[in-house]
Amino acid sequence: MKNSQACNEIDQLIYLTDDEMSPQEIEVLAKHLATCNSCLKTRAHFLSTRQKVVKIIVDQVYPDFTASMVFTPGLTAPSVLPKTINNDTGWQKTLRVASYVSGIAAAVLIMLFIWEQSVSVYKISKLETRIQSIQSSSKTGIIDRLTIQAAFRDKEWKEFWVAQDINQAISDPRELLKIRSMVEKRIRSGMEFKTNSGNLLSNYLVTKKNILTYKNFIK
Amino acid sequence: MKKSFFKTSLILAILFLMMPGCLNIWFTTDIHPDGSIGKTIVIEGDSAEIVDVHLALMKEPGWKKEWTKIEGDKNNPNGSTEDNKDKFKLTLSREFKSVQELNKSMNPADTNVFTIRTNSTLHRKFRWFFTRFVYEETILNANPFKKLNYHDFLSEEEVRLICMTDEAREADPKYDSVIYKQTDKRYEEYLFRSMYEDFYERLLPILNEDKSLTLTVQELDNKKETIYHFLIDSTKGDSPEAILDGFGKVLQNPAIEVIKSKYINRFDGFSRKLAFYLESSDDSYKFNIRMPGLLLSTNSNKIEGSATNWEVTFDDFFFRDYTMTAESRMVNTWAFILAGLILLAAMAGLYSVARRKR
Repeated sequence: MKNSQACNEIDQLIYLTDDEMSPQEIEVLAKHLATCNSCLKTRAHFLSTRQKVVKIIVDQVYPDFTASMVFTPGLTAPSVLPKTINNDTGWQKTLRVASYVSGIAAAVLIMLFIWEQSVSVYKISKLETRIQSIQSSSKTGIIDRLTIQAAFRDKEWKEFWVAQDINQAISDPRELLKIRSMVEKRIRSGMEFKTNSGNLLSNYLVTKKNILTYKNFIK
Repeated sequence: MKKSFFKTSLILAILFLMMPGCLNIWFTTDIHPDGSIGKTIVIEGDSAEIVDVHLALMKEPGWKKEWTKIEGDKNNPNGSTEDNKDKFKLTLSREFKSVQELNKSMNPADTNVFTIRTNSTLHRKFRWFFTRFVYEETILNANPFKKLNYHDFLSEEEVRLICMTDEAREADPKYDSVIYKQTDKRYEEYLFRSMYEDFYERLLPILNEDKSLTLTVQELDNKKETIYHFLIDSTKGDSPEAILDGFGKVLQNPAIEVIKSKYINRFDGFSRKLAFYLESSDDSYKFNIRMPGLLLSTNSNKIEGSATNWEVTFDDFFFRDYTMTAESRMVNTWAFILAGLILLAAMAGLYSVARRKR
């Protein structure tokens, strides 16, 4: 709360810089600013304005001088001003702290999720390399399906290219991607493609009725 | 392959043991998300054999038992006697609150009980978005005759060859039938010598205790090797009486008859071990572990969804423990919801801070 009597006593000091005050005056001012938000704001505003004005004058009068040469200690922001002006109320402070904490927590959780997913994808793809059977995912949820998809996707596509022997036929990677996206569309529409090991391409995601070879696909 | 103690009785023993047919035993383990475990054991075969199966849990209360009759195909003239015969199926099931409770039942504390023993561990690892389950089930070494070390007879590679199924052996490009026959012969020798040693060591304390016997340990030791070869080549039957008869024929000492009449119960442990080996070694074992959620890794070669299967023979756990592992993960839906709320709060907070700065 503002103490009007104390503010009146300190009023003259607010508009002075460090080198214009005695050490005792600096101490008195510092003590008052620590408890009075209103005077603190006034002083901050004064110093900021003063600095801006000084800068404009210096830029015009001494354009070749560097800032450090022009800004004498007396003109720069004096020490009698806390680094931040804290005019937050209690609940605002709590909210700010909470937002930082939740931000950190969210970042940690995202990293944890990425790590756990990577471990799962690695383990499943390792398992698949050893055992030639793709897991049925009919009972699994969306997260598990995405994990399986990530684990098998590249392996299956790699197998598919080998099976269809089109790696040699089409050397342009853009062309390969184009075919890949076409095949993906056709899988979504219900067609089936077999990989080299006889597995159906993405058969853990979609159940299809027709089996189509590469030749048919090209036609 | 089942091995009998004595060559002369080998054919008879095989005929006797093979006639009723071996048992098919399925062990199914269901791991529940709360850490409890469901165990189901299905035994299929001749009813008398099912009753005598070497599973300690058969006598344990708490297991739900269900008998089912499987009608044989009597109308099939081309079917074998086995196919035409009625079979029985016994289903044992029980729910365990924890893996410790399961182990108490599957691995009884009494070491004198000869049974197929399994020891399991289950670890639940909380990873915020997921809970990982790591289950390990070990079939403990079932060799009842451990007086001798198998490494003195067989190398690790030879053990691997013996443990392979006939199909796997045939498919192996390194397979050599001559080498296999030699290996199998050494395996038999290890087995027979181990059995003999077990029997022999039960005889020694009797000779030391009863000084009225006209046979000394020294005299017995001198003829140890001769008796072994005599038993292998000439003795009929696997019973302690028949074996002691073999000892008597070589030693020509009346003390053996006294041992037969006074101390025959000292060889009960040997008889139980032999019965366990002969009756369990031809059974077929299948293990099925069903994990909760998505299967991540396993040392099995057969997977169906989140269930993993192992087909093992007695040889697989005769020499050493056989371990089956499976790891899965379950999605914690609540954790995703909570994370979403935290993310929203963070975004709202950062937005308000940014707005205030402007």
